[in-house]
Amino acid sequence: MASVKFDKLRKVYGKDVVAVAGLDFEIPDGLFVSLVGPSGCGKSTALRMIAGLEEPTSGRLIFGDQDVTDREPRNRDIAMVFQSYALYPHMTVSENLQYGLKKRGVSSEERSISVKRIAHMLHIETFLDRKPRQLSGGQRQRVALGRALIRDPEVFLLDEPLSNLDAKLRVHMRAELATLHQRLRKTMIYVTHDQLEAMTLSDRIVVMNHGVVQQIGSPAEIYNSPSNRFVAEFMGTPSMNMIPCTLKQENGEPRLIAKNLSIPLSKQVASLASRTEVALGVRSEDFEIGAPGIVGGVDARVLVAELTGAEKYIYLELADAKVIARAPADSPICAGDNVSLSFKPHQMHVFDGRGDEAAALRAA
Amino acid sequence: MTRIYDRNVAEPAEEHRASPRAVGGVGPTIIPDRWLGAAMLAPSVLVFLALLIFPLGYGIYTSFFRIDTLDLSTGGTFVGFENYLWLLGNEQFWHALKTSTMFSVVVVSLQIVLGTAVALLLNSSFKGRTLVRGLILFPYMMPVVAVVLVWLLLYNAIFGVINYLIFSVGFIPRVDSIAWLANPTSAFIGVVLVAVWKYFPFVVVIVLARLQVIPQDLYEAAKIDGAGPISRFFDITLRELRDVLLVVALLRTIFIFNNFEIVYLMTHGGPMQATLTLPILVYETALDGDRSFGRGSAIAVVMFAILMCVMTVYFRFLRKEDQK
Amino acid sequence: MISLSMRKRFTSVRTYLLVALLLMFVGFPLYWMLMSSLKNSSDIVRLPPVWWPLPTWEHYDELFSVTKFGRWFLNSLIVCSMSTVIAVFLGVIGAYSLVRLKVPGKEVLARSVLLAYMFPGVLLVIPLVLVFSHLGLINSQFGLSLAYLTFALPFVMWVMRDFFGSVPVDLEEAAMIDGASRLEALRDVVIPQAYPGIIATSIFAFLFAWNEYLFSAILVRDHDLMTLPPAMANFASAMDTRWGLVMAASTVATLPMAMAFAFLQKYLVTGIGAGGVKG
Repeated sequence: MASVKFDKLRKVYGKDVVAVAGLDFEIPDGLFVSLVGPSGCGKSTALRMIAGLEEPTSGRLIFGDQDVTDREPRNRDIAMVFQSYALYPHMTVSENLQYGLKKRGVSSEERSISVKRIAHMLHIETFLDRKPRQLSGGQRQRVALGRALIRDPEVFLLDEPLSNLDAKLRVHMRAELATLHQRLRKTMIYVTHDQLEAMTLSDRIVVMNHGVVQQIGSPAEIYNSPSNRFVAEFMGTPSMNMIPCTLKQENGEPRLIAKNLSIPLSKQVASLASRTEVALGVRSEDFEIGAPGIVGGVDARVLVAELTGAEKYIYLELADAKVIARAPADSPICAGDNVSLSFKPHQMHVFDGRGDEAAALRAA
Repeated sequence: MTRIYDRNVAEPAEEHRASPRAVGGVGPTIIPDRWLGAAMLAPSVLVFLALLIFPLGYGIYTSFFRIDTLDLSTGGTFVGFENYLWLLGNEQFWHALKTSTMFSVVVVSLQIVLGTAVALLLNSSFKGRTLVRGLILFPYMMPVVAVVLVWLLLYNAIFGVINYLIFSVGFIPRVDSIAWLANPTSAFIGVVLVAVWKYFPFVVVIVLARLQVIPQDLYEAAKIDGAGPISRFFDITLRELRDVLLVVALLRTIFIFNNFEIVYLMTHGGPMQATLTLPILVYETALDGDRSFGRGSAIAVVMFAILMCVMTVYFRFLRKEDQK
Repeated sequence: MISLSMRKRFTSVRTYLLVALLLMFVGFPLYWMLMSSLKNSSDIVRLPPVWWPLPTWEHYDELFSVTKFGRWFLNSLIVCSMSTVIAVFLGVIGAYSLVRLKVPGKEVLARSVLLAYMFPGVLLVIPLVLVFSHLGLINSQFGLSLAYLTFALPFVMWVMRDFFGSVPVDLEEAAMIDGASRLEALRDVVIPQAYPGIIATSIFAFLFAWNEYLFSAILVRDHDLMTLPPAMANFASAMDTRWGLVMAASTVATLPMAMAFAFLQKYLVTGIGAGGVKG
């Protein structure tokens, strides 16, 4: 059993460069968890602390029931896949796979059995005797995975393992990783800046920014109920639309006002707001585009219509904000059109302020 | 179902420190990198202390004593600044300082000009370029003694090839007209030539390395802008090389100024002290004949002070480079 | 109007002419050394010079059978090997520590290495003589190899710093996660990566020691313990007119360098770039 527990884990470089400002949560055994955020958000530092490659400034790290904070990487029962793959260039694929077992005193017969098993699983049997430089990027990726798998560790750490692959291969390997996790049911901690990877692979997502955890939850929770504006905008493509609004009382009813926009807000949500300068967040798929003048709709002007293949992205000007809405690929809407936008009422997010940290206001 | 929960609502964890299960039998304690690092550096630091720092300090200490025997049990006599006063009043010292300076300036300038020219030549493309680039390093890697001996043969007044060549072109009436190393001026020129021959490849290597990283599109852009080959050389090549040439000049000056071997082996400082440089003066004062270790040390200390001044300039320059 | 292709041809002819001139300037003394060592004694002093002699091995025979040249050659080999082994061993672990490990004050230390490397031997020689004679290290091959460390060790550290710096950190980290300790990772992964660099550095350190004159001349006075450079210098002044013999000695002394050249080609720039600060 190897859950991974962060106990106020903190990393500060030099005197005051805070890389990770206190992680305090537990990853249960067997889950696939992604640490996601923009570069410099502390996700890699967090992963390296789990690996033991980086010494935490303070706090403890606990695997299962063992405090591993002071242990060397080799004594942590972890395996890691590096972004660069970090295959040993002077060893063959087979030697690369065996190195970890060798270090653990596994006999050579057992080692070759393991190599065969892993090579079969990852379809790399044919190039076991090659050196890493003779392999393609995708093949290296598999060997790197194999080197981690062969030791059957309690915890797998993956540091942006797919980012050096081309787009097509990346989608393919993503699916393989998911299958692998289904099969092994081992704790996997995955660092990525690609929110799509995080969404598709994970049981849980940890969104980080500036060394601080922004939200922890399942992909659906993170996507549907982002806890603050940063999470809302970071997760999802295109990014969630943000319309700056003012919270006003009209006839005793709270409303969100912005230029020609006026939307009623539940009293419960309005009562949570600490200020009147708020932001209304709407995902691109939560707009409905109709002919101008529809009741309950807001007039908007189409700036650009972009065909992506399966659908169209419609760039609009709405109450001084630029927003993106989705439309079917065969939609006739084109630049210069005037349309009316309406909102799906339960898919609106209201944020208490305009900055990244602005919390989402949500009725309990 | 388990899920990630916030530790704030969780019970406080018990602190366990069981032995790890990963690697058989290895205890949980690790040697922190800084201890390992210090241990790995310690022997080298010790060598530096014993063979560089201590001798340096000891040399300065010695310069305040009169010591004329290798038997240290007598300890020598403390004489204060006497050795330095001797130095300042010693015509030989001033002469050697002047010779050293002149030798360094001439040798370094010639090396830089020749080295840069050769680097430019070896940067253009021709067949066998790699081989030539390797071959020209031979003088640099050859033992000084062998270099000097060959050149002594070449300089030989009676059957030396150099005199023969000058004679066959008709510049001198008889083959043995120039006694290269017996005449003050020609000896100085002779030693300079050998020093340039042996050490210019260093300049070539450094300048060539720098030339290879000048982006080609700079030249292409200049060509399109209508710059001719000469203005391209001055505006691009020399500008790009300026910093590296400065560093090389500095390093080479330090090296040549302190070079003992070439000059000593060729001329022993003669004739008539025409090639008497400071290193040779140190050698003659302290290690050959005289054995005035105190006085020799005093000269070395003065040389060290000069070195430190140049080094300060060098490090300041490096820092400025780093900031760029 | 001259066509572009003619101008190109002119440029290339000029290039080859200049290269030929350069090779003559650099190569002639070497050629002359070799040729003179193969000439009989009367050909050496002949005018006009004998450019292409009928080779004779008599000087080489005499060098090894009559003089103590073989002995001195061996002495050089011993002293230089000793100092190279010590310098490479200490320098490699020290440089690794400087590059990868957290050591307080390592920036200062790295800079002192450069300073130490640039430090001229002539400023050290007096205190070294005094201290060595006190410790009984005069006329000692071990003592001389210690003196060589003053330039060999900083050289090795300075160059190895670069080589180690170019080995990706990921590799070591992967090894450490795979179960290696820091030192095992160094042995299994880093050193194999830096291996060619280490060999090249060793050869350079060896050659610098091989070519050194001042320390050798002063710290070892005993005729039988002497290394090549001072022995050859003495020998040449004693054998004033025996140029064939002297040139044969010079040629043999140059041999190790020539042999190393083939291998070093790739590393010459790195080695000399750092080495040239002093050597």
